[in-house]
Amino acid sequence: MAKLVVRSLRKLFGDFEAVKDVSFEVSEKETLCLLGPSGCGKTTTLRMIAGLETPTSGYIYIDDVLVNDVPPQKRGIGLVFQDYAIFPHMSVFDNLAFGLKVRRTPKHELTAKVDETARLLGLSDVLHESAKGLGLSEIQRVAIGRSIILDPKILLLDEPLSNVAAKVRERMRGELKRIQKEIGIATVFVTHDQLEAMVLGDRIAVMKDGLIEQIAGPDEVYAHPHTLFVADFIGSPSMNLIECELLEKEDRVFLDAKDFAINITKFAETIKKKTTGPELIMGIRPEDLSMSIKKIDPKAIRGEVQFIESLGSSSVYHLRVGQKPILVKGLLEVEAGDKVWVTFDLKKLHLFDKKTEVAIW
Amino acid sequence: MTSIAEAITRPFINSLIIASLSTIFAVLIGFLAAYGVSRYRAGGTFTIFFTLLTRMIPGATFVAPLMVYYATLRLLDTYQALILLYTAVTLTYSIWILKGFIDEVPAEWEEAALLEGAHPWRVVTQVTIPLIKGGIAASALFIFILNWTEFLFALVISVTQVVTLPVQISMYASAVGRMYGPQAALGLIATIPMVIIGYVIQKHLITGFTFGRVR
Repeated sequence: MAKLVVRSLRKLFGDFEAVKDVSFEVSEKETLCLLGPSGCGKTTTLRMIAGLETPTSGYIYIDDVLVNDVPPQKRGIGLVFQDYAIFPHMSVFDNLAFGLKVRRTPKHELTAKVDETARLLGLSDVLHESAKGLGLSEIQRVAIGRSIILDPKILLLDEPLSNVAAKVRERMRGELKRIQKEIGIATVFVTHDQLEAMVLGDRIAVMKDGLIEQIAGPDEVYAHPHTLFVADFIGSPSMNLIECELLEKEDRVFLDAKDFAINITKFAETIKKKTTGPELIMGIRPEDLSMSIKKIDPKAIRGEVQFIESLGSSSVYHLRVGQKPILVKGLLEVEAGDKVWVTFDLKKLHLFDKKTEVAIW
Repeated sequence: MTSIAEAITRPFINSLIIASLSTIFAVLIGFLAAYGVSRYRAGGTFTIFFTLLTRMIPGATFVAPLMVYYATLRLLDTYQALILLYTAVTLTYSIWILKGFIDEVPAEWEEAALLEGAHPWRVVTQVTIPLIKGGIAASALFIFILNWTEFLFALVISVTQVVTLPVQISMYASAVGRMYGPQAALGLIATIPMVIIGYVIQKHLITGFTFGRVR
C-alpha cells in the first residue's frame, strides 16, 4: 500500500481556486515530482500535505491513516523549504538538533543522532560553526539534515534548488540524488524546472491551473505527453506545435498545415475516431526531425535556415517552412539562408485535438 | 547637605523605576501585539492603525481629564499612575517598530520550527526573539529615552512623592530666583543612564538585522 495517498484535494483562497482536484499516490522509497509553472498549485499541494494549509476538501492519508486533522508536527513529515529556513542565529549542530531538543531527547542519543546525520550529509567539519557563514551547498544539506533527522515517513521538498546559480545547481542536484538514494524514503518534490524533475523524479506529475495533467515516469511523460500543455512544457528546446486540419482527398487522408501536408491514410481511422473536429495540432520534437541538404526522402519538406543556436555537441536550427517557424535539433553544416530538406518519422509525431487539447495520437 | 543629596537621589531612583518598568511593559505588550498583527493579522487592518490615534492628539489636551481621572482612582502621586500612562502612550511605538522587524522574519522559519514539533511559545522565544533582538533593543532604548525625558505628565501627576528627574530639574527655577548650578549639575547627571545604556546596547543597534538569508 502506498505511503502517501492524496485524494481529490482542493484548496480555495477566497474566490481563487489554487488547487482544483489533485489525486496521487507515492509508494515507499519513491520520489514524485510535482512539476508545473509558477501559480499552478504545486506548492499549495505540498503545504497541505505538510499540514501548513488546511484543504478546502479532499483527503490526505499517510501510512493509511487519514491525517487531515493531524497537526503538522505529528504527521511524521520532513519539509525542506524553498529558502531552506535554517536558523542563522544557531550553529549547525543546534540547527540539526532543534527538533530533537524539542522532543527532549536524552543528550547522548541526541549527539549520536546529530553526528550520524552530519556524517551522512558531509557536515561533520562544520558542525560547530555558525549557520550564518555557510555556503549554499552546506545550507542545503543542513536543511535536508534537519528534515530527515526525526526519521520522517515522508520527505517534502519545496523547490530547493530554485535560488541557486546554474553551475552550483547541477552539483547540488547530483548531491540531492545521492542523499535521496541513501535515505530512501517516500519523497514529494516540487519544482518548475523540468530537467530537475527528470533527473530526480521516479514519476512526474505535471500540474497546470490546480490540476494534474499527466502523472507518469520521466520517459513516458517525455515520449507520450497526454495533453498539449505537457507536450509544450516538457523538453528543451520545446516541441514544434503546428496547427493543421484533417483533410480527405479521394481515398487519401492528409494533415494539412497550409505550407505542407502529411499523408496519414494508414492511421486515419484511429485518428478520426478520437477527434472532436477536423482542427488538430501536430507536435514533433526538434530532435525527432532530421535535415539533409539533398532531397533523400521523397516526402521531405523544403525549409530555409533562419539562424542557428549552437549548443556545442549539437545545434538548434531555426527553420522557416513556408510561413511556419520550425526548430530542428541536430548537426549539419549549413549556414543561415541555406535551403534544406526536413523529414520526420510518423511514429514520433504527436497529434492533439485543438479544442480539448488532449493527445489523440 | 543631606537634603541636596536626597534631592538628587530620590528623583533619580523614581525616574529609573518608572522609565524602566514602563519600557519593559511597553516592549513586552508591544511585541505580543505586533506578533499577533504580523503573523495572524489580529484585529484586522483597522486596529493597528487605531493605535496611531494616541499619537495624533497632542498630549496636553488630555492632561486635565487625566488628572481628574487619576484623582478619582486615587492614583495621583503614585508609581502606578506614571507607569500605566507611559506604557500606554509608548505602546504605539513598540508595536510599530517591532512589527517591522517581525515582518522581516520569514514565516517559513517559524513553520520549520513548528513542523519539528516546537510549541508556538518555543518558536517565539527560540526563533523569533533571537532574530529580532536588535529591533527589541532599539525600540527599548527609544522608548526608555521618551520615558526618561517626559516632563508634562510627570509634572501634573506627581505632586510631592513621586517626583521624576525632569520635574526636579525644573524646580530650581522659581519666581524668586534661579539656581543655575544645581540645575546644570542635575541635568548632567540625568544624561548618565542614557550614555551607559546606549553604550551597552550599541552593538545590537548596529547589528540590527543582518541575516544570512538565501536569495
